[in-house]
Amino acid sequence: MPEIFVSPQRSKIGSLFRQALSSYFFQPTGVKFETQGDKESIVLLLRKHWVTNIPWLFMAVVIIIIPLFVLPLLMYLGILGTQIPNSYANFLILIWYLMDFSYILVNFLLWYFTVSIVTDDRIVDIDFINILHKEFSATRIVKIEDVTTRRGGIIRTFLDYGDVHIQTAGTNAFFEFLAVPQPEKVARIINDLMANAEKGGAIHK
Amino acid sequence: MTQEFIMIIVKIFVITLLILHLVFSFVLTRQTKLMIKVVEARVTPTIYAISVIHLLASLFITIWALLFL
Repeated sequence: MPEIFVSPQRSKIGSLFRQALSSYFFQPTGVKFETQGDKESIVLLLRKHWVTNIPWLFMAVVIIIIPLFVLPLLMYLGILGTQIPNSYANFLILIWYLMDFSYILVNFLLWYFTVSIVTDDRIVDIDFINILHKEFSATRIVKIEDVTTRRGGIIRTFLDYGDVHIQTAGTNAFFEFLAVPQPEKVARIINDLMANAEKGGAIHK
Repeated sequence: MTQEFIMIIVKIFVITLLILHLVFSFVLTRQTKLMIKVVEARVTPTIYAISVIHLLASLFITIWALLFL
């Protein structure tokens, strides 16, 4: 087996943590996806880089902080406790934080379950556009014709993430792994798998 | 009288919002169950547990609002 496909040793806790929040996971253990073949093994599991979560995380923090400023202001203005009864104020705070919980949970779920998977036989792209809308597309490694990477901008260069575009001869002409970490390494691994597939290795029916 | 009327309107608005949120929470929990079948990992039961906690929190606040608001 080529060295690139040999996974390094990891501690169990570190591995679990990485699996929970990593956006680049090489040869993940204990991970399965729907339609995975019995002998098919996952080489790469990719999510959008963690930095793409910053806008909604920032918004969530703002939503958490707002009552800390608004409530003292309402008390200072004499609105709370007189015009708005305390029982209503408590409910409004609870509802506010419940909505924030929902906002964080939905965004996390969309990030966590929108994955691009490279196996030793196929590439699989699972996109959750929203909670109710899923797109699943897959193609065989042997059908891949071209792999290109695109990375532009200071943040993307500094944090080493970008897009991987895969052109195929299948029904889906293009696959896009957007904002994934280490795009050049991803492209290199896919190219190695293509070369391996051309030699007739690791193809499962 | 005006104050009481405003409070009734607020109460109806809050309870409607909470019932809608409860429906959303049910859908979210159901979808999470489907999502963890799409990609199964060791942490996915924890993620499902969090979505159940979210549903229970929504249910608890809705019942509380119906009883005490």
